[in-house]
Amino acid sequence: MSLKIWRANVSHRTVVTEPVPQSWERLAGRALIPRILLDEIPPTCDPLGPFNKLVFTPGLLVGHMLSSCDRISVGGKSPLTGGVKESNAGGTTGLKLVHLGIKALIIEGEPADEGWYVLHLSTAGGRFDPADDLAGLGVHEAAARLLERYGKDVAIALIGPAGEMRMTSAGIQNLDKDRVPSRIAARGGLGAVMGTKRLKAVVVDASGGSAPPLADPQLYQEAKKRYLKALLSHPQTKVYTDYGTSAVAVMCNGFGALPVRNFSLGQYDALDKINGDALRDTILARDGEGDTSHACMPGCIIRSSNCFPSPEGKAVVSPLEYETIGLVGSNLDIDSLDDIAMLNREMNDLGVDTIEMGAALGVAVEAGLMEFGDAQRAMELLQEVRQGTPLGRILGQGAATVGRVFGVRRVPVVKGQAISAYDPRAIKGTGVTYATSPQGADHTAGLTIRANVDHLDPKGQAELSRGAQIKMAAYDTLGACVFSSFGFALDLDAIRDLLKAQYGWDLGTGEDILDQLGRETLKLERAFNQAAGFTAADDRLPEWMTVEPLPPTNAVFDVPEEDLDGVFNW
Amino acid sequence: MVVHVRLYATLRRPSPDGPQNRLSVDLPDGATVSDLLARLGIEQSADHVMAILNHRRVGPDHRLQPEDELHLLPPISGG
Ligand code: SF4
Repeated sequence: MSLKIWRANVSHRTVVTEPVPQSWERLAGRALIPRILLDEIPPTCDPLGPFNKLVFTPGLLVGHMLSSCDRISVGGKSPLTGGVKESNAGGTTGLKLVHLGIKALIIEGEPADEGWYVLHLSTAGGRFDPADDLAGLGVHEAAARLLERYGKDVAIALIGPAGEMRMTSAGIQNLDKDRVPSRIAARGGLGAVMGTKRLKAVVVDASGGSAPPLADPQLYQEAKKRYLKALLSHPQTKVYTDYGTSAVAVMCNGFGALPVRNFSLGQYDALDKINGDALRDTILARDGEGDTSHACMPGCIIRSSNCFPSPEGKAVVSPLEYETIGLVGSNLDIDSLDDIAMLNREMNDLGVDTIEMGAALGVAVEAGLMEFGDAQRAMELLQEVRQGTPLGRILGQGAATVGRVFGVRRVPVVKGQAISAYDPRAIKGTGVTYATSPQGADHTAGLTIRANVDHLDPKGQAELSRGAQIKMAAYDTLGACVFSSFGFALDLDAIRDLLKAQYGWDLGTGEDILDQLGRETLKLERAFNQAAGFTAADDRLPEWMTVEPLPPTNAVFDVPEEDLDGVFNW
Repeated sequence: MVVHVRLYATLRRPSPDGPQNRLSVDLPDGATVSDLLARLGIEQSADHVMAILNHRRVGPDHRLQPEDELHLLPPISGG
């Protein structure tokens, strides 16, 4: 069985399968998205209009339950940034799409009527089922009904009320391995694009399907063994198993780079109450459904995810991650894990990006809509979003829109997308990534916090960011979770051997492969953005970050503009 | 001289009252980060520990000053 392109047209409600065009063959995941967009949509099109397309494409390594390598990339033209968008997630969607033989699912066209639909994919092909009864439902209730309707073994990608209302903070939620709809392709408003196609969910029933055959099963097993051994032996693996991403909070705070009170401070005096240690100790102290080490997808041995329980031991949210602790916790001066978890769950149910919504609420404080530290008021504002009131719709458009509507200057966005939980003034390499990534502000496009450099020194940050951006673009193309890199870093040639064993490709050393995949991806993404009208002026941080010092380091963002403009001159 | 240490995550030390995360350590004048790690019995590879002092990462050869407040944490690569 060779992989195919599945094309779902919402105008005619048809699904057809097509062979993979030759120029797409070596691409998948993040790299394939800009290729498809360049080939198939007018770059200047309205992201919420009929010409935009929504693409689901599993990465190159997906389909074999190799630890932490089954991620799904979702993409299209972003209604938040106006540029190319790839947002990836764990869970089971990627694995099941490959088991149906799908290299990319392209959803296109303009809905013929006002109804809501489920796109159902199985070995029998694709079909559109009416789903008006699911309209307006939160993600949790909608997923429960879909599981009842289609059976417990399906993968589901779905939107919440925010996506239905075409809010640009809306993402697309995916089921984790325990069928919790919380693995969100969060960034860039792709949930709104799905809303314009009037799809509440994509349901993937892979029964009768299977992993694609391997070109060299023996080489695959051998490379897999090397990778797993390296992954298990890396000291960071254990830290992520026990603490998850939340452990990074103290590092960021140590560098004075934590988002605090709408990015006005870099250190948080109440961090001890919400850091990774507090999170782990709280989960362990509460019996019941809490779990400090949880795998988002079958086969992941790192298990960086967690499940945060209520005081009574009932599951509240899974996972509670660093980005949410940063943007919804310290950024709003909310110093209770229970409050952060409650808000996180609500945002998940609405189907919004917690980074974008956390940043939007931070700006809302400056606009006088709430006080810092007032979790109840934050919850009320989320109800405005749910009800689609005018205020809720403003918040649902994200931080940039809130800033514009209420005349706030301290708005943490690049290309319209909220900055994540690393203040770029104190981690300047990551600031270069925020400024120059074709994706808009996004730490997952190239985080530099681990590098052994002075993060406050503007020198050398552009090169550091370039390397990180290339590497991350490559991992996103492989469908590999960033934390798989602990294993691959010790044995990069395992990547070469896995690709060879899967596809029969001979692509050079592991290092060459990452470099080629990363550069090719970034080149395609930049080509799309350029055709969509982006210029060097878009590759900048917000002006206030270049003049407003960030206590306690009092750093400003001072990487020279020539350096920013030279990031992709390789 | 005395330096103060904050320990995080896997570097916290078990104690009957729960994990211990604050220590004050008496070291000879001129002691380095490496001397401190040796005293605390923490493995000295860059994959095991990151030291942050005054918002900057410091290496094993960095000389400590009296009353320095050092953060020691596992050098994870982000979230
Ligand atoms: S390491 Fe965490 S995010 Fe990555 S695949 Fe495993 S559970 Fe999912």
